[in-house]
Amino acid sequence: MTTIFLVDDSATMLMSLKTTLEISGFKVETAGDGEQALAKVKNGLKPELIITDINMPKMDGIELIRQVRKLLRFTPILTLTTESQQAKRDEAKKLGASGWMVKPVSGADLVKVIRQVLPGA
Amino acid sequence: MTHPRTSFVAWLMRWLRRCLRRADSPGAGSAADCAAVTGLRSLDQQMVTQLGRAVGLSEQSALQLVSEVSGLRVLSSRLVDYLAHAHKQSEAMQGGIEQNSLIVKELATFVQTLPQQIAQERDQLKLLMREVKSLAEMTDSIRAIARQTEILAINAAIEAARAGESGRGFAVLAGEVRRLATQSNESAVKINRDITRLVNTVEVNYSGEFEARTRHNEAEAERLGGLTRQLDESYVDMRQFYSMLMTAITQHNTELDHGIGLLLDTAQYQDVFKQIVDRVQPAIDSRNVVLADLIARLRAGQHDTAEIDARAAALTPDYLAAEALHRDPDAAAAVAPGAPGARIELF
Repeated sequence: MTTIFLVDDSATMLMSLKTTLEISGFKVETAGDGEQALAKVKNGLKPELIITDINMPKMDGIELIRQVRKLLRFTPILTLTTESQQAKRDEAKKLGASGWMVKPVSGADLVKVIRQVLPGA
Repeated sequence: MTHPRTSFVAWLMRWLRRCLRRADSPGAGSAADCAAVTGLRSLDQQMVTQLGRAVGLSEQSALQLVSEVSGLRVLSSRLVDYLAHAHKQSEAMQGGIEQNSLIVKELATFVQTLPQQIAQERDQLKLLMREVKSLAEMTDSIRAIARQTEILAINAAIEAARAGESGRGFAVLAGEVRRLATQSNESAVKINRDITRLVNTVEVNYSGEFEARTRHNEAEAERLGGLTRQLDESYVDMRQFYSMLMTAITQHNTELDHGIGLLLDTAQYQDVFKQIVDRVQPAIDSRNVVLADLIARLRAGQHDTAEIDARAAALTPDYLAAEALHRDPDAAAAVAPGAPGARIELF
C-alpha cells in the first residue's frame, strides 16, 4: 500500500486529508510541524510521497524540503499552502519540490494529482 | 474612492487630536478622554479574544465533523459487508438446493421408469405363471394316470384272486401298484394346491400391491419434484432480491462517498479561516503602535504629526499587501489547471 506523509500544523487539515486519502486506499502518516516530520524521516519513515504546508512553527515547509532532500533524494514532495509569494514557490521548486497546491484542494483533485505523480499508486 | 478602513483610521486620528486638544484645555475632561482610548484598546483585546474563541470553536466543530463523517463511512461499509456476506450465503444455499434438486430429479426419473420395469417383470411373471399353470395341467394328467393305474391295479387284484395260488405274487404287485397310484394322486393333488396358491399370491396379491406401491411412489416423487422446484424458484427470487439490494446499496454508497468527500473538502476551509483571523492580530498591533505614538506626541505638545499620519495611512495598504501574500482560494480556482497561479501546479 502506498504511504503518503502529510505535514501541517492544522489538525483539521491533517484529519480531513488523512480521511480522504485513506478512503482512496492510501496509508497515511502525519506530523504537526517540520521538526516532527524531519524526526520521523530520520527514524526510518520512507513514504512514497510527502505533502507539506509551508507556514508552520518550529520548522517551515521550505526548510523541511531542504532537509528531507538530503535523506530522500527521489521522493516526490508536494506543497499545500495558502502562500502565493512567487519567491517561496521558486525556492521550493529549486530545492526539489514536485508541485505547488493552494488550500483548500478537493479530495478528488488531490487523488488525481497523486496518481499523476505516482503512476503505480 | 477612499477605502472604508482608510476613512476609519483618518477619522480616528482626527478624533484623537480633538480629544487631546481638549485634554490640553483647562477644565477639560482629560481623564474621561484617556479612558475612551483605554476603552478602545480594551475593546480590541476583547474582539481578538472572541476571534480566537471563534477559531477554536470552528476547529473543534470541523474535527468533530470529520470524525462523524469517518464513522458514517465505516457504518455504510459495514452494511455493504453484511449484504455481501448474506448474498454469498444465499448463493451457497442455492448451490445446495440445486444439488438436492438434481438428486430428486434422478429419483423421479428412476421412479418413472419403474412401471416399465414392472411391466417387463410382470410379463416375465406371466410367462412364469403360464409355465406354472402348465404344471397344474400336468398334475391333472398325473392324477388321471394315477386313477387309471389304480383301476388297473384293482382289476389286476381281481384277476390275481381268480388265479388263486399262482396269482398271489401278482396280487402283491397289484397292491403295490395301487398304493403307488394312490400316493401319486395325493402328491399331484398337493402340487396342484400349491401351484394354485402360488398363482393366486402372484396374480392377485403381490402384483396388485406392487403396482399400487409404485403408483404411490411415482406420485410422491412428482410431489417432491414440485416442492423442490418451488424451493428453487423462491431461492432464485431471493438471490435476485439480494443482487438488486447490493446494486442499490452500492450505488447509495458511491453517492455517500461523494457527499463525504465534499464534506471533508469543506472542513479544510476551517484552516483558511483560522489563518485569515491569525493575520488580523498583527494588523491590530501595528495600528495600536501608531495610536500610542500619536497620543504620546500630542501629549508632548508636538502637533506636527505628518510622519504618524503617513504611517497611519500605510496601515491599510500594508495589511492588504500582507493578505495578498496568501492566495485567495476562489481566485486560484479560476485559473486553468496546471498554469502558474492555478490551484494545483506540477513542476
